[in-house]
Amino acid sequence: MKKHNRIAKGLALAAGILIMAVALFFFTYPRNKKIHVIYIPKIVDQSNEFWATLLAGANMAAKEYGANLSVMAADSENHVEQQNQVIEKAIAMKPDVIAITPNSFAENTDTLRKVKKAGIPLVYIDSTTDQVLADSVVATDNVEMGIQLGTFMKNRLPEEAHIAIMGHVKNSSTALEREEGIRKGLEEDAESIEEVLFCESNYQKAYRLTKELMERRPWINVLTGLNEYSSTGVAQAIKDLGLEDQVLVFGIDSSTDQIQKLEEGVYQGIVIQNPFNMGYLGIVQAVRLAGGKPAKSHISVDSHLITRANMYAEEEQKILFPFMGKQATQDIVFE
Amino acid sequence: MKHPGIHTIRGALLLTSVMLVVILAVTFFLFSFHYTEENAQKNAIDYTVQLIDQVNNDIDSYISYLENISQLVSNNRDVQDYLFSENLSQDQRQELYQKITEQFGTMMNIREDLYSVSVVADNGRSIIGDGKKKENRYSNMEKAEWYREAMESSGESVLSSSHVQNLISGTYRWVVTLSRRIENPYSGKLEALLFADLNYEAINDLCERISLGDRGYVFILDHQGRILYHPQQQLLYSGIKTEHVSEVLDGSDQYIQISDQGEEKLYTISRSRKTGWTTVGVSYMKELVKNREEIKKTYGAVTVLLLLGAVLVISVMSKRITEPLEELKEAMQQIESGQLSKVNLQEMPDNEIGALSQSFNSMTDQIRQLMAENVEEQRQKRHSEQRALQAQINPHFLYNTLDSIIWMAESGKNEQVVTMTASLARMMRSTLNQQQELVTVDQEMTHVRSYLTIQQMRYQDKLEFDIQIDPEIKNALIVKLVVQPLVENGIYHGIKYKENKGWLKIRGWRQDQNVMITITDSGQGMDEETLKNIFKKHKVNYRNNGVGVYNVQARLQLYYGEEYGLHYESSPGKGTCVTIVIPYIQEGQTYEKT
Repeated sequence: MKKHNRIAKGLALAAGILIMAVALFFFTYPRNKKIHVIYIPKIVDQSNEFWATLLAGANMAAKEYGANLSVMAADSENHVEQQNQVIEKAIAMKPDVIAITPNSFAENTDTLRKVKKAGIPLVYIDSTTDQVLADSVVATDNVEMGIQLGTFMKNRLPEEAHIAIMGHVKNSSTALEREEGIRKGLEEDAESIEEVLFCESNYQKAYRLTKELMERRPWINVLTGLNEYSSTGVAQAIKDLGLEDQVLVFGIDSSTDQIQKLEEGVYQGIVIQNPFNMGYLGIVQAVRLAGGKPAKSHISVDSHLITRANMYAEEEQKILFPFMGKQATQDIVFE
Repeated sequence: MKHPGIHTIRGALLLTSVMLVVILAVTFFLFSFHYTEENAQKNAIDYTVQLIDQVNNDIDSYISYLENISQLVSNNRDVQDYLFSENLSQDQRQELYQKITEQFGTMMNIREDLYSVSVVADNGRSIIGDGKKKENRYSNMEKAEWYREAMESSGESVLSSSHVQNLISGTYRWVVTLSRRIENPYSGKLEALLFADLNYEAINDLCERISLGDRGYVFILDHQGRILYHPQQQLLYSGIKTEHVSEVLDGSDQYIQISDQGEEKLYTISRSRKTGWTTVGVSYMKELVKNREEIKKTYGAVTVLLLLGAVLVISVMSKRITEPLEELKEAMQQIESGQLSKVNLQEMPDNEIGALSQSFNSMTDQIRQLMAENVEEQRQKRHSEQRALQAQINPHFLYNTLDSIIWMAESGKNEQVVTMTASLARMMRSTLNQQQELVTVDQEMTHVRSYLTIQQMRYQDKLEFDIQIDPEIKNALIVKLVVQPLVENGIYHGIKYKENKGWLKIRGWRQDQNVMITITDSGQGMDEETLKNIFKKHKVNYRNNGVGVYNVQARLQLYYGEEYGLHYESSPGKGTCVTIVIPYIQEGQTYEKT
């Protein structure tokens, strides 16, 4: 019986080696489970170019890294409470990672803390909160953006400059940082800033406030907005007042209306963000975090200065008019 | 113990052949899988090359279409008249404008991919598309690159790279523009610009429709090597991503392989002569062979099945080879332990082992025969020995008896002469009947009684004897002439030297499976020393006793075996008792010594 045992042992050994070899061969390329990313923008509005472009970038990253991207959002940019509900809903779905553009600098913080409590990695895209809870922040450097605009303004200032700034939301991080940047860019000319107004991201209000301002201080000869709504309102008011030759208007963001005003010469120049890159880099960071790979805690997305002269140059036109095919946002799941 | 498990031929055979088969199978698997993968990859590359060529052809056909339109429009009499004729009335011009914009509108409606067709004359007259949309007063077209390139041309068609068309107010559309200077038939000079815009979306669709794995993509370079279309152009301009443009432009191969951040990519390149554009397909080598895993699994499964089959066949074959060897080994062991008769190898295979078994069989046959011969020889040897032993009749006894008979005859004791002679005759007859080895106890006793009768007469009643044999053993068989020498011994050693009368008793009975015969004398007995040496050959006293105790013992043991024979009991002055122990054999039975 002993010799049979030995043969059996030998055979078992050979079979074992064989099975191990085959197993090794078969599992050389383990298939990873797809990473589930939930992105919560301020609003879901495909007609808004900024958000559509950002989502296109996010979608490209998700596609490239083989992740599943779902988008959940409140109906309006100003509904903080609603966004908090969306965050809670997202936590309940147990995604691998959550990316968010917080609506409020202060009022999302408590809810976002729950995301961290649930052990879900968190990425901020575009905006941040008073307490940075995110593992990674991907946003335009608003101070840098302001400096870009401020420096450009300084080069074009008239002899005797009287500057007014139309902010969007008082005490919002973007407004504060952009104003700070403009002041830095203007250097000593920052003293010429006579008034800073806030339009609550309302185009109508910006338009009205500008008209009132020009009545109150008709000597104002340099005006700038700090976001799409404030910039558009200011430009439209100046155009309607027929003051485009006397008042130098600057702006931030690039709605179609703003582009037209740039072509018309109402704007001297606008500084634009790169929402596509923001979305793309945000989701790349999210996927990295979910996969346990190192991610940078802060990534600044470049902003670009566009003038009437360079708006159709090869590179600038591609940034100003981001081309998006039909499929750019096609695969995104809106929850 | 060098290699545990290779202690049997079968084990060694199995282990080596299984290992060999495994190595061969795995090698074959890896080789064929690699070959198939390579083949599949080659096919995939060929397919990708065709695919990208097709994209290029499709783009060419778009451009051809634009060229046709430009040809058509530039040769159109109405267009020429509208732009250059100075002899038209306001109404006529308006009528022509209506007609032309209608035609343009129709063209743009038919083809979705045609964004717009426009003509702009140097004299300021222009037709923008179907004329229904508001022109962008601030378009600043003159500064656009495509416009400048077209204006510098001399009547041939000029294809622009991708750019944003801003001719219509509030609309910024990515297009590719084909433009051509139009000749003023009146002056013979090129005095207007015609341009047809191809919707960039059409190129995008064309490129996105192509599936190059999950992550593969298509991009297009314009005639100057700048990126005309790229799905990630946003990232490229921000420097987040880079594209291997120079590698693509430098080579003239249909495809190149580029390693990018540890990943092998295949760049499939198709260059268009018509447009000067380069269409590039980028696919990931890993994704190229889609069913790689399937191929691997199928090949693996087949290999494992083949292996199992091979192992099964090997184990069966090795068993068939080694089983007869096992049998042979067991047969050898049996012979070694002396069980010769049982060994016979049957049904051996018709090969070397079969031949070996046959030799083995004939060898054991021979051994068996030799042993049988040996046994027969031994038997014959014993027989002749027996005869030699029993043939020895004491000549002194015969002489003395005859002397006594003469002496009695001279004394006229006729009756006594008759008795002695008859006894002698009886003795002689049984002695002479040499053919028979065994006699009945009764016959043996007759012989002994005759002898004792003679001796009694010779010693003149100095001797008394008594024979009592159980009738049960009277017919039992005994080796003949064993009792008489013992009796003779008793008379010579015991009684002969006694002054007074001596006696001798013979008793016979059955005890279990044995026959016991005792001969007791009243002689002087023996000391221990004599008793110890009683069976020794050299102590045989031929003078007194021709057939010694040794002789009897030897014959008994030769015939019956060591466990049978004589037992002496004696002490000096107290006589001697000798017991014959033999197995109980009835007449007609044979005895086989164990």
